[in-house]
Amino acid sequence: MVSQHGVQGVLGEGKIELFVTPSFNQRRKLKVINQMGFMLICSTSRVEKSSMSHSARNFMAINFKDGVILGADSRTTTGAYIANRVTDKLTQVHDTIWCCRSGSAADTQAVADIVSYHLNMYGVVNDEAPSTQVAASLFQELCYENKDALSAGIIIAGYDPRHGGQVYSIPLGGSLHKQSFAIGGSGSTYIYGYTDAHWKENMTEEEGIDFVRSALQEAIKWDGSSGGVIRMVVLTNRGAVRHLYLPDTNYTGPGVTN
Amino acid sequence: MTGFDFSNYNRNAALHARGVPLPKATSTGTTIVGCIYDNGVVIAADTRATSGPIVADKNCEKLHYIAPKIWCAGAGTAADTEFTTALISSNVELHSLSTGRDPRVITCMTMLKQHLFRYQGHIGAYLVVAGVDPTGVGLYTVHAHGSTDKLPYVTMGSGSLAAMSVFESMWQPDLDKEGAIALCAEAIKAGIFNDLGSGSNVDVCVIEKDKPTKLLRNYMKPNERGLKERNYRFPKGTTAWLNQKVISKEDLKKYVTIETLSGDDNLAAGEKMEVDV
Repeated sequence: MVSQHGVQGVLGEGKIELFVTPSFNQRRKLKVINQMGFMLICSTSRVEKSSMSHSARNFMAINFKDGVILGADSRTTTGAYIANRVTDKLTQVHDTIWCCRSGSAADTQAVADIVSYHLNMYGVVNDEAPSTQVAASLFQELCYENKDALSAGIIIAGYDPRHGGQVYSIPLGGSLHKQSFAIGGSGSTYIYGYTDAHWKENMTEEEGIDFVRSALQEAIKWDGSSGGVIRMVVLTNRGAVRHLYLPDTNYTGPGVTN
Repeated sequence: MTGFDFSNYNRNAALHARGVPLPKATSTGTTIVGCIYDNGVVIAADTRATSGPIVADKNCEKLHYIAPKIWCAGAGTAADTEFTTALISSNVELHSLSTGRDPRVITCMTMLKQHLFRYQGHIGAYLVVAGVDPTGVGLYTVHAHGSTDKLPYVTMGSGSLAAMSVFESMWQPDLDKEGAIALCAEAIKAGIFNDLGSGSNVDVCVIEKDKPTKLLRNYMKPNERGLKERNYRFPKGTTAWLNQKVISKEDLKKYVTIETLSGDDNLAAGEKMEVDV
């Protein structure tokens, strides 16, 4: 496959490539925009079986997962300067598979673009949406094989009818962890205690949103590199629903506020 | 294989470690901005190019053509912005010819970011990409490392802080064309007057739906050189002399050989060479 541009995915060789000019293997001294901000929180939110739920027909499970919630602040910094105060760090890589990006903006955007390309191809070739695990493995492959060139901390969350809501975390070294909820980014250090104390299995959607928003509020309060608005996306069998919470209203209000 | 040759990288690193200073690239300490409005998008730039502390060009062009309805404002290393935009402009045109469609701003932005990411920030191009395409109005920033942002108003370069302060205090969601031009020009002026790396004039480019793109070169000239009220020239006869001796051509032949060239006066064409404007 002829490479026209820097970032390229190769399909069919059983290999994914992130093309970086070889002599640049030395670690870069400078990384311009860092999305240091706190980033995200993902939680699987589950509810008791409800009659209206769409995916109920597929499974007889006692408890099924209603879905998953992603959340992030919106600050992107270049040194001490806020390069973007309304960044969208929640990136769609397939219909109901999204990721939260932290670390270098350039690196994580490039990785997400490649994964997005592969998942779209997967969907077309197999005539079936990819599972969250497939997406997470794709991210891991790129993050691990190029660990020396990347600074990317990514959390992948997705809903598929077979597995329900799932959360995967890929920290700096390129390892992959399946978790019930995950936090990451510079602000996450401030809320390990908070999230641990407040996390519950089988939360309703409303409880889940509340959990994510309160945790992000706390992270933004303590972490200088985090701030702006709180963005969220809720992934269920109903698809992806976006939420926005503004600081002017003290981060309160119903699901979608202005 | 096209592209850059990095075979001297290790040599240069070794030289640098022994204290040999790196050569200076002409860099544009710059203010560039962009702003969307109801029916299109405006980008603007100052016109100062610097090389270290020296102003290398007082009236350079930082607004680059990509396609008829997609333009770029460039900050960073002048040569890199120039060649990167030229390369992508070429590829965008070929792409447009091959698909038979008008080029899109997001296509152009993606090509730029993938090119810049591949070179890991060594191509020092910081760009504002703006344009109108069949999907609507587009305005993006692309940083040298390959990250991009999409915003209703953007600033870049060393004067970006001064320019952003103007946007943050005066921008409103319902701007019309005139308002957007005025706001962009005001933001550039903030860079020109408050940032040492920016200066001279304001260039503006207006890209509007269903209208030809307008490049307003030197839209504002807030730094025109005033006429000097006095000068240091002495009038003829200021210097007194004690005596004078006139040597005719004939007298001169006693000391040197004189040859007169025949023919066309225009042969001495030194001063008549064409200058590009």
